Amino acid sequence: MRAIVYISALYFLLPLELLHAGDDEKDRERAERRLRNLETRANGVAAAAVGAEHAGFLQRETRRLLKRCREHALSSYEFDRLLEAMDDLLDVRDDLHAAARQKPETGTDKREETEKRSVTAKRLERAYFRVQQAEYFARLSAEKQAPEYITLSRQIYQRARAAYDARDYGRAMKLASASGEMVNVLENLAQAAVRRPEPPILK
Amino acid sequence: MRLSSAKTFRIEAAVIAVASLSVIALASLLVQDAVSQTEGTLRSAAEKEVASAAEELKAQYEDWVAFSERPLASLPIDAQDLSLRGLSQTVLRSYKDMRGGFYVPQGESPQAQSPPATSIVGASGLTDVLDTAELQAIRLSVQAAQSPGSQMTGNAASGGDLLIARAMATSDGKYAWALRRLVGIRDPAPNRRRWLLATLVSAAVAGVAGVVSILMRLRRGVDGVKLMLQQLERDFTYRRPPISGDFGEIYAAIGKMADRRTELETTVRRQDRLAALGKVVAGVAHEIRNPLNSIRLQLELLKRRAQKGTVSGAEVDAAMGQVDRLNAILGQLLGVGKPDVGNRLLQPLLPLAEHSVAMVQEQARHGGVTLRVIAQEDAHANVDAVQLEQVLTNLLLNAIEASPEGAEICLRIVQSQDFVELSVSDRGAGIPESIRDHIFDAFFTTRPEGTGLGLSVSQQIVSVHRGTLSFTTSPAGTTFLVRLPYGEAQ
Repeated sequence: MRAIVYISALYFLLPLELLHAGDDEKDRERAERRLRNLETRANGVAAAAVGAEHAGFLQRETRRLLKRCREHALSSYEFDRLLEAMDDLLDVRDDLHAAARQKPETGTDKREETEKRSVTAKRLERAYFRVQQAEYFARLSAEKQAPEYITLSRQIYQRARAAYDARDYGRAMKLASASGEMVNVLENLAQAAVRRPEPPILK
Repeated sequence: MRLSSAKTFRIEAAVIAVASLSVIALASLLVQDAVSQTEGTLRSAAEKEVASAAEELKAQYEDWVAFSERPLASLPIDAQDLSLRGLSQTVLRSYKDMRGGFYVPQGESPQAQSPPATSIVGASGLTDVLDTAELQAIRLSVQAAQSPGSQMTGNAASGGDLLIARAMATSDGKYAWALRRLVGIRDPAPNRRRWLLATLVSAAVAGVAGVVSILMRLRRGVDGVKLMLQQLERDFTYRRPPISGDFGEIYAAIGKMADRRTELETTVRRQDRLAALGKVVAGVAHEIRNPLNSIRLQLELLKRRAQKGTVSGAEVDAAMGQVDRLNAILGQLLGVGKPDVGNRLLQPLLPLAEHSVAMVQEQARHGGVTLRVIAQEDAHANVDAVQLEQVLTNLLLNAIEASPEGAEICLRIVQSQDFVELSVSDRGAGIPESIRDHIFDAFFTTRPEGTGLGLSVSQQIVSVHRGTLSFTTSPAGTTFLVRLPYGEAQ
């Protein structure tokens, strides 16, 4: 009788266990795939960005983040945040690369220029707010390289602002995006480093 | 009901104390109201700023969501929390003493949820310093945001402080909240204050009415006292009918004082009469003593001549003349206070002067002084001979008394167109300044044997003759001057 109960239990529980085992496997595979994609992207962009501004720092950080990703278990919280950070870092490289290649627009009519100016201003405003957040995230991330991120995000923002003043709105948009992405990297690194605080104690 | 004075005083003191305390309390309440108005302004400003902070948090959040490539909900809750805290921290940097964050309701009844357990609350790790009252204020502000038409606010009391919280709903169902603690400001309790104010105003009005009543009673009492004193000035027998209370006692005391004063005045008047009588007697004695002395000297001279057998009728005539003079003086004394014009005739003055000098010659010889008459022979005046001789005799005797031995006393008579002046000058030490104003007063004297009537009577006589009696004095001597109008008709 007891044997029947055990066999029945195994009969019901085994498929669930196998099912869960299958989910974890899928997650790991997905994470592995994302990591490989980012590696590929990093190598590709790295080749394209040779000679670009801040290329050295960006390459170095990309390699470092890849290495840290590999140190964590696939699909863990930290792995996920580091992967996001690396993704954002590569976005920075892409944006900077695109900004470097951006040519000043000509022949736009006044109404179109006004619209572009307004959109760019909004984007710069957003980038400015994000740059303001950089120090907070840098502090929480406790990364040694955090000050460089802050400096870089500010420099890029200043370049975006200069492009805006020069009415080079396409370039200003790319640089503003890169500036904000730089803070995103820090935010992801902070998220990886800091767990949610404990619930408050009633006083 | 009649109250004792002490009891009345206690009641009045209590009324004044109640009035004073009420007025003070009312004043302090009004000051408190003024402070409260200031607090209201502060509260209003804080509410606006808190609302502005919540609005900005919401705006930045919406902006972030709009620009973010990855939806916030796709992030793990831990990552969401950190990002939102980063956003809150950056926004609230430009607000002083402001806390804020995002409230994420869960379940069907978000109001019942406890923010820290299931929601993202706080900026920069502030969740660990939120106390129960602050959490309650945040919850209230979320409820207010969920019911926009209601009168609910996020205000809550915490000890002696006021917590002001405001929440704004975001497009994805979260609530951006901001909170400020106003230290030392309480939420006003209008009803309680209204009752307190009404009570204090009533007490103050009652107290002031009591004080006014006391003042009116005092006014009436003081008026009564003034009236009584005015009546007493006219009629010293006036008395007010007795009444109760403090002022009744005052009226009775004033009445007793008036009685006592009447008794004292009666006594003093009797004593004054006796003293005056004594002075009159002394004056009479003085006026009689001079002729008596003169008669005695004449009789001594008569006795010496009788012993030598050389008696003549002249000495007897002189003594009889003094007796006549005594008789005349007594007649005058009988008329003191009602001076007699006498028997005035226009007559030469030199004989009168010489006769006066002759009458005091013996006193001059005793004093070692000489008498000299310098006179216009034709000097005339309309005078009573006896009265003028009495004046001159008084002045000469005073001069003899004042002069040192060997000195000369001069009697001058000068006639001008309108006046005749008779002066008696001595070489004495002069009249001290302190007594100059009193020498013509009746019974004023500086000599123990003097009566103080000589100059007083003399002045009265000169005055009856429409003349003046004056003097000049210095340390080298004194001159008395009788100025009579020339030919003054009787």
